[in-house]
Amino acid sequence: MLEKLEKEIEERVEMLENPAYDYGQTFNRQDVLGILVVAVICVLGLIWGNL
Amino acid sequence: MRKDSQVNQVNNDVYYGIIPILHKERIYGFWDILLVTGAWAIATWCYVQGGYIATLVGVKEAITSTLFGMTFSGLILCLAVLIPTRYGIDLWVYQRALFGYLGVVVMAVLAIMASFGYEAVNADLYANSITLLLDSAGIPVGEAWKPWIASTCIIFGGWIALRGPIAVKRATQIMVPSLMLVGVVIIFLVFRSYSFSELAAIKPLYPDAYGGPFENYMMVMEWNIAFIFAWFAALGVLARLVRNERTSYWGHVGGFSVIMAIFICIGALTALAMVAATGKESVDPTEWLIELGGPTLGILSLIFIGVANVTTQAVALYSFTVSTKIIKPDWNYKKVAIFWSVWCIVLLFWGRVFEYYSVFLAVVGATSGPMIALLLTDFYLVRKQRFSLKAIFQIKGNNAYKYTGGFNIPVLIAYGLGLYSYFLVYDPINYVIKSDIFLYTTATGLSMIVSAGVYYILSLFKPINQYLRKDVMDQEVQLEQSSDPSIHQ
Repeated sequence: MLEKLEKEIEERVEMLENPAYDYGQTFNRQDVLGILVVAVICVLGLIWGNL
Repeated sequence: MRKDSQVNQVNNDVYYGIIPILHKERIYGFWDILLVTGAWAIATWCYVQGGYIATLVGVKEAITSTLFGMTFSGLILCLAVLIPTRYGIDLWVYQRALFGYLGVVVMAVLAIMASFGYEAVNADLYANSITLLLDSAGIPVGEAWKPWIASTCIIFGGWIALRGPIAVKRATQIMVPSLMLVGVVIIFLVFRSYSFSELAAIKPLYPDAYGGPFENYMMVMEWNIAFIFAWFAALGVLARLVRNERTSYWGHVGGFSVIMAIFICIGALTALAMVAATGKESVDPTEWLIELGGPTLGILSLIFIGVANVTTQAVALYSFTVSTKIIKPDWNYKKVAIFWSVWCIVLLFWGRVFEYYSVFLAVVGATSGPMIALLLTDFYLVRKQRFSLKAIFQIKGNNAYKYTGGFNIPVLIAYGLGLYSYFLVYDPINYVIKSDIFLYTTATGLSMIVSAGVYYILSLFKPINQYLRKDVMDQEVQLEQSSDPSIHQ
């Protein structure tokens, strides 16, 4: 059983490492910008909460 | 027949084991992951956390420290979900590169064992709600029966978890709206009795517990950060089922931090209302619901709470069971799930997790914080998002992450120093802040900064970098021997 699992994993790793493999929509600059904006709001909110 | 059974088990292992899931096999979109993580997050522990917060700070401080503190922590934590979503592997599988092949087993077992403490708290509150329901029906239940009743939460949750991620998803699609309804009912009950200004005027029971309002505020921050980073042990299983990185990241942030924070705020509001109504401290929402809602609304909410905790148990058990299979991939999913259910029942009969909730939370924060800091430093800074899947799975004798006897020594040093810094500024056993540094970083925050900093600095030394990046060196050797690329970016 373990051999079959290992074989399946090996095949899938080959597929994932194929340059033609489609990873779908990746994290991009817009997301990073979104994180920064939300983070700044949170920090300001935390400071305001303790005033 | 035996061969067919093995093929089925291999197929099952895509969803019940550690086989990488390809993007075309993913089953969760944005709303699915938001609801599943939300369902896991908004169990009754939110009300417990809110209840504890309300003992130290007032309404404004409770809401800001919880909502903004937890969202901020969630933004950091969820950067880790990009790994499982991108490669279809559990985060624990990736951590073979971080801790080494044996190191990750030790860390995973400890983290998962500790995480079931939350499920024990959850099941305990489930038992409280059932007990109150039976009492209201004229059937008094003694204390001795509570662990037995709580065990039924574990059993029902296990029954759903054994049916896999689709069953978990369907259960949450029903339960999350129900839980939202409970939240609305609680808010209605609170604001029926008190205006916001009246709530804001309520003083917490222990305003000087840690020396003053600012110290209390930072202690609440510490609890909230620890609460968020406690998700670390569970972060990879659901993320590998999501179709793309963007959906996965924002879905996890929404469910594991924003939705949870909202419900903790509701818990804090209600606990303050309870203080105003009765003058006594309570972290048990079942007591609030009966006190504030009267028999009808109270009983209705108790039913929802009881059932909701079962769903939480189901999601948790599914995730932790799959993660456990990094120890031995051919272990049977059902047997592992039953093992963890029994462990959870043992915790229930032991009965001390709820009693030492603050200590438990501190231990989780102290251990999870440095782990997440090390993971993010490793993936984004040290490896710059490049690692070897072949070495992760030890394909064709590729053992680049064996390090020293299966343990990554620089990481363990950084982890140890992170833990040390935690206890340098805070004593979680006696609840004592030992240094003013705590007031600016919190203990968990400091342990993360120290762990990440030490690991990154160590990685800059060439011999240590070569020790850590053996995957790259192995790849270069292989590239020289053949044109087959083995490093994935």
